[in-house]
This record gives sequence, C-alpha cells and structure tokens, in this order.
Amino acid sequence: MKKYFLYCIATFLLTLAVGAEFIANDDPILYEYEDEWHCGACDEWFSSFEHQTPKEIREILKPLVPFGPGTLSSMGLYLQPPLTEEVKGTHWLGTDSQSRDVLAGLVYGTRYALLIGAISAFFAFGVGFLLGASAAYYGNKRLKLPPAAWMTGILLLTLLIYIYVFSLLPFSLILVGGALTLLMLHYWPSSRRQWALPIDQWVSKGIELFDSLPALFVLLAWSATIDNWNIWNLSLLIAFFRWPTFARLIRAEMSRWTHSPWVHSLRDLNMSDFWIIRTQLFNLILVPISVHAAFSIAGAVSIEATLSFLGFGLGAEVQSWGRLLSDARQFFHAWWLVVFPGLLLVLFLWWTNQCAQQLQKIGEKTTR
Amino acid sequence: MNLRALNKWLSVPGSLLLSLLFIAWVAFFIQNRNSQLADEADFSGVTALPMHQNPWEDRQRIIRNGKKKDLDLPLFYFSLRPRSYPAEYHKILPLRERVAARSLLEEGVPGDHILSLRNEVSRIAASVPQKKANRYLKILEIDNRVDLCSELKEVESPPTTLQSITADLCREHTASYWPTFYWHGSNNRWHHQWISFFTGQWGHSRVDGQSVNKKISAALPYTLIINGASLFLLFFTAIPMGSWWALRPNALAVKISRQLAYLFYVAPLFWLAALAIAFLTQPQGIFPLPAGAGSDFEIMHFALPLLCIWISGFGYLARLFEDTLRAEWNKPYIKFSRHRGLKTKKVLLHYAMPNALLPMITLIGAALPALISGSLVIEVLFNIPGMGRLIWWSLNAQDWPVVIITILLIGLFAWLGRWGADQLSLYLDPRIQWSEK
Repeated sequence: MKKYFLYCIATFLLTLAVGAEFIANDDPILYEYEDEWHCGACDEWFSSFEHQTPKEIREILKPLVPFGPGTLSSMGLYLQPPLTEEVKGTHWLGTDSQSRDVLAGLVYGTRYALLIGAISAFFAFGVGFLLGASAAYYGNKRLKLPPAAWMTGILLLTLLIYIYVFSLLPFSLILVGGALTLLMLHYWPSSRRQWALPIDQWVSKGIELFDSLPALFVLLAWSATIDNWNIWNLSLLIAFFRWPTFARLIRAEMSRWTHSPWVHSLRDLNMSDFWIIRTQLFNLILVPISVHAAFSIAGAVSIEATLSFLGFGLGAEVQSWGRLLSDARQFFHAWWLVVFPGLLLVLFLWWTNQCAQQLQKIGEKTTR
Repeated sequence: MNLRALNKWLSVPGSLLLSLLFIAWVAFFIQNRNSQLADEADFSGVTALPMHQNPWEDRQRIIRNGKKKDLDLPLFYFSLRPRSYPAEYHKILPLRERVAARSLLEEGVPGDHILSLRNEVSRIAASVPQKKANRYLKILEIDNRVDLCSELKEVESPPTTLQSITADLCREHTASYWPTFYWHGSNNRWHHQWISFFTGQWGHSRVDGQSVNKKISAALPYTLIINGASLFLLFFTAIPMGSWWALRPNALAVKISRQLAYLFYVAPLFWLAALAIAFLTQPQGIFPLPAGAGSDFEIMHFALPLLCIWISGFGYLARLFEDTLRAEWNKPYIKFSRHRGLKTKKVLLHYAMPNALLPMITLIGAALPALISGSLVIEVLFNIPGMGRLIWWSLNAQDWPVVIITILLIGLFAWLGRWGADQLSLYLDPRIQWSEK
C-alpha cells in the first residue's frame, strides 16, 4: 500500500519536472495559425530560446496554468494572497514580490530541485566511490608503484596545474611532458623497488579534513564569488562538499569484504582488480549505497533550498523552491509564499526518506 | 605512559593544525577570487567613493589601499612562473593593469619590458599636468601588443627612456614558458594572515572600518546563548522522550508523537522558522515580530528562534536516544536485574541510562557544526545580531576580512567541540580504547 503511495508521489514529481512546459506556460499547448496546427509548448520544451507565438491565433488546448516561469502579471499584482477577488481564477496560489505566479514557479522549481539533487548525488557518488573503493580495496600497502611511476605522476600533475594556471599550451611543455612519460614508462618494468601508495591513509585524512570544514559557511562564501550560476556549477559545488560521506560509507562497507577468503582467492586466480570491484564487490554494497544516495539527494535539495533562501545560489530570475520561500524573509506575513513551496519541499524530502527506508527493507530481505 | 597514547596526544595539535590549514586554504582561495575586485570598488568609508573622477588620484588611492592590505605581496612563500613573467608580477596593483599585463604576458611580451614601461609611464605621469597624465595612464590598461605599440608611437615628444622601451616592446619576441622558481620568503600574504590570526590582530572591516575583534565579540554572546540554550533544551527534553519511546513502543501516544517528531525532523529548519514567523507572530500569534533595525533586542525575541531550533532537532536526538536505549535495554544484564525484582525506574536510571548516554556525548560533539549552521539561518530570519547574521551581512557586503576570520573561528570551534566530546567520552568510559577510536 505504502509502496504504491510512494510510486504515486514519484510519478507526480516526475510529471511536474519533465512536463513543466505543458503544465505551466503562457503559450497554448496547441494553437491554430493560418489553418495549421502548431504546438506552442513543444518549442520551449525542446529548446530554451525564446519562441514568439503570433498574436492572432485560435487556441485549441490551453495549459493548466496560463503562466510561464518568468511571466510577470499583466495587471501588476504584487504579493497577492490566493483566493482574493483580484487573483481568483487566474493566480490560484497567489503571486510573489515580482508579480510572478507562485503555482508556475512551483512547477518549474520541481525540475530544478530534481536536477540539482540527481546531478550532485551522481557526482558525489562518483568521486566517493572512486576514492572510497580504492581506499578499501588497496589499503595502505597493496597499491605499489615503482619510483619512476611516482616521479612521472608528480611531474605530470605539476605540469597540468602549471598549464592550467598560466592558461598556456606551449608545444615545448607538452613535448617535455611526453618525453618524460615515455622515458619513465620505458624504465617502469625494469624497476624492482616499489613504493607503496598509502591511499587508505590519504582518503581517511581527506574525509577528516572535509568534516572539519563548516560546510554551509564555506558554501555561502564560495557562492558569493561566482557570478554566472547555473544548475551545473551549483550541483558540482554541492557535490564537492558531499563526496566524503559517500567515500566513508563505501570504504566502510567494502573493507568488510576485501579481506574475505573469497576476494583473496579471486586475486590468487589473477583476476584483475577492476573486475573484482566491478562484478563482485559492487553488488555487495549496492543496497547501502542506494539508501545513502536517496538521503544524499534529499540533502542536496535541502542545501540548495537553504542557499537560495538566504539569497545566494541560482539567480533571482530562477524560481526554485528556496527562492520562492526567500520572499518570506522580507514579507513576514506572506504565508502563501511559505506554505506551498515548503509543502512541496517537505513532500519531496519525506518521499526520499521513505524511499531510503524501503530500500533498506529490501536490502535486509535479500541479505537474509 | 604508553608510547601509543603519547603518539596519539602528540598528533592532536598536528591534526588540528592540518584541518585549520585546510579551512584557511579554502577560505583564502575564496577570498583571493574577490579581494582584488572589492579593492577596485575601494570601500574606504561607509559608502564607496565615486571612481574615475580623477584617474590619477584613483590609481594612487588603489595602490595606497592595496599596500595597506598587503595586496602587493606575493600569495605564498614561493611561486612557479614562466620565465618570461616578471619576478615582481604581484606588485602590479590596480586590477585593470594587472589584467592587461597578464594578457600581454600571454602574448609573449617579456615581463621585464612591461614592468619598466609601467615604471616609466607612472614616473612621467607624475610629472606632467593632469589631463596629459590620464592619457599616459590609459596606456597601462591596453591589453594587446599591436594597440600598445601604435599608442606608444603616437606619444608626442617622448623622453629617450620611453623611446628605448618602446623599441624593445615592439620587437618580435618568443616567450619562454620554462617554469622558473621564485622564493619570496616570509613576506607574503599567507604568512601575514596566519601571524595576524594567531596574534589576534584580525584587521578591520572593509565596510565600516570597525575592528573585526569588536564585531565578533559583540556578536558572539548571542550565538552562544542561542546554541547553548537550544542544546540544553534539546538534551533535557529529548532524553526523557526517547526513553519513553523506547520503553513503551506500542502505546498510541508514542506512535503519534514519534511520527510528529519525524515530520518536524524531515522539514528543513528555515521552513519551520518562516512558518513560525508567518503564523505565530504578533497580529495573529503571541510572539513578537523579529527585531527590526531600529527596535531593541529583547529577551522575548529569543523565544520563537529557540522553539524552532528545538522542534527541528528534537526528533533527531530523541530517535537516536531511543535506538541506543533500546539496544541497551535488550542486553542480558538489564534483563537479569529486572528478573531479580528491581524496579523499572531504578534499572532505567541507574543501570541503562549511564550506558546509553555515553554515545550521546560524541553525537552532540559531531552535531555542533550542524547546530551552528542552523543558527545561521535562524539568526538571519529572526534578525538576531549573532555570528550567523554577521557572516551573512559580511558576505552580502563582500567584507572578506570578517568572513575569513569567522569561518576560521567556527572551524576551530567545531573541531574543538568534536575533540572535546571524544576526550570526555574517553574519560567517562574506560572501556573505549585508543585503538578503537
């Protein structure tokens, strides 16, 4: 029963996010112009550039909410609560301080929330898995490299940073780097001495360092320095602060298995490390990871909402849930700007939490 | 003394220093992105002075203020630059000129020529009348060699020194990108920042010129009161509630209150606070509106913020305590003492509680950063003049000296809280060994 309820919420949120243009739009979905049928919403759905719908048209199918994400009210209705005489029938949930429709903002905000949550959880998972899995699998002693490889690695890294900082790609440097690499690769197999890479120690230290960072403050300070915000750099910034939790979990879950006789025997059979991690170990940690990923999506969405609520993050023209709520910072009694975006936000957070619990139950069943 | 324990104790300052260094590095990185830009705007009073009334004086002022804020010093102890870059690249102070010099350098113009041109032009500009000087200064903001050369050749009756520099500049050059190492010594911005942080000279705000020490000491009591009071409240309500939930899991009231607390825990704090302001303040509700800029801050203004922090943290803490207590309650020694006929109250308070409370100490230490960042949102919303609002205002005003010091202090405080909680639980429970950690 509960599962179906969760499915219903998922469908609802996904419909809002994917079909936002078909639900809230100032152009009609279908219109007739010069005896031909056109799809007004499709143009905006496929491409983000402004599409001009001609004036003299016959509307066939109107969207549910006749306002786009940035459409200002033509009557100049600022901060109207819902169900008053002025906005009855047009702005169902009222308007915000820039006279935009709240309902349209909610619909498009769903898309931003889902995208930011998914992208940042994906990148946090990617980095966390790479570091956590290699820390657990290789430990402090197993990843051994000859000194030549160490030197090459350090030199190449320095070279890359150098090229990046001075924004230059001179031929000579590339040549030097390439020659260096070839030279080192040539001597690599003949070297007998090997230095172990204490990767476990480094990753643990890195996680500890990130833990000591006051994340919200640093995130705020960082976001104050960037001018051109979009979904991608915001999600990446959030992921930058959230990979340690993934890395810690994956490291803990995986190190339970890396010392098992099963993995030892696979190693003795000369299976490659990558194959063992991909086919054997990854399946074992899938359930805890997906539970954590659900929590991580919720966390990212809530961080984004907090950031935009405080006036940072995505620009003021973007109507994310947090941005809608941030109007309430100045207008204390604009309850409709607090209640509706907040309810949707809480619905989303509650849904992800419940999904995580369901996943956990499934995991418990399968391990038994 | 055990050698291992000694090692552990020695590693404490090292670990603290490392995390502080990391926080400082992140903060420093962020600050550097903006400090130059903020300097161009040059907040020397409450309002920014108008620019470009008089370019020569503006330039002098930018250089003067930049020197005051150490902006003409190198960033770090050493630097690695292409050979054609000048060793004293960091001494080019006005941002526009630095950008122009940078793009000239990327074109392959040797840095020494650029520096000598700069010195020469500013020397000439100081000696000629105002209008002419401005024309000379424009030369320094040209960012490509072709324009620069044509502009230099148009200068009327140039001095011989300028002529020779022009000739040098306009020749074809092949830039050398070979990395060159420069050692700057301890006279660098990173070093100065650390020395001033540890000696407590935290500089002055860029917006109103007030000292950062004063600002922080004015703001700190509010944050301490809010966090201390909410921690106290949370602790003394969540623990009885959690034990009630753990011992009577099937009662209807328990089920309802657990779900309610869970709902409040899931809802983000800022939403709860905004809801509380929208519905519980004066016209409809009983609480006062958030303190305005003019009105004084009274004791009643603490009530609603505390309520919000309490209600959002309550579910988390009570649930965690419920879990630990339930785990403890199922252990054999509790069952044995109950079968022995001891009263439930005694078993709970004397046997189970001390054991179940121990993990809570570590937990509160770990939750300190979350509590502090939660109080940021609350302080901004309720207009409480604490550290959170201070950092928020400073961020909006690009007041970096205040921001950096506040972030460093909060990082230090969070680290100390966590470390202190670890030490306390270690002291209270000798069963925990160093090795377990």
